[in-house]
Amino acid sequence: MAAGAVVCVLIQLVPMSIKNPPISEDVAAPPQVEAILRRSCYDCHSNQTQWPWYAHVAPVSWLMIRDVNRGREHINFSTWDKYADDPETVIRKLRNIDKVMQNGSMPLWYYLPEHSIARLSDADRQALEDWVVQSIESEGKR
Amino acid sequence: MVTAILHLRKFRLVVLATGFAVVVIFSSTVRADDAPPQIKWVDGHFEPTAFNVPAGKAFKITVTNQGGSAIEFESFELNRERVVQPGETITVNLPKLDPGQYHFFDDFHHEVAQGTITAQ
Repeated sequence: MAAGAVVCVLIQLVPMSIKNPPISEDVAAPPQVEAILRRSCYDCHSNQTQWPWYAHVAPVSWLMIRDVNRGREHINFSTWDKYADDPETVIRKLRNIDKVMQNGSMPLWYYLPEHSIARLSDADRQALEDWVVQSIESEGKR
Repeated sequence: MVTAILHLRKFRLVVLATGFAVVVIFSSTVRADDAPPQIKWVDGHFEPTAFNVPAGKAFKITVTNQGGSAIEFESFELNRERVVQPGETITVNLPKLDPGQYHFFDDFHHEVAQGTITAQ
């Protein structure tokens, strides 16, 4: 018991950074869609993560940092300009958004209990799908 | 007279060698400037797995899928994600890069070793 407590204290000393990287350019979306993205996706897929208090406590912090880093690698709404000079990449990212929204794999199930506001309604999914379809169409014309 | 002929032959050889060298150097420069680096997916892996590009200059690469199933050319560092169907060749636009190494992989085949683009 005492050894466990010592370990818990010691792992807090492992340096971990939860500083958000800079934003280069946010994805352009209608206000309703932007609100959904910010509410349901931005914690893991942007450089504007809202870190809760427990994000500072190891080992939870390690898991959260890992998830956020992976999320940003796959799609980052705060650096959308970096995809923009390759329209096919933008289209691929948009299709991926639509896929994970429609099949319900995002937001992650274990994120939702603490972030019930991130839960997507049918109307949210429809709004996202409409935006994806329109965006793909306009990217295809570039 | 014989010496003069020998000098003339030497001169011709020098001119020919110089001309050949100029053609070789010129053609390789043109190739480097004009032809985008090509990556091929062959027998379940990328070829080449590593190549160099000039830093500070936007460029393009082509990716050809010679395999029997679709691949996804992806790079987190380069912010690129493109599906390549069997038999298809795609062109990927890439921005100016800072000197360094940038990795790419096939997101449909994670067991395959990553490739590396070095900007220098």
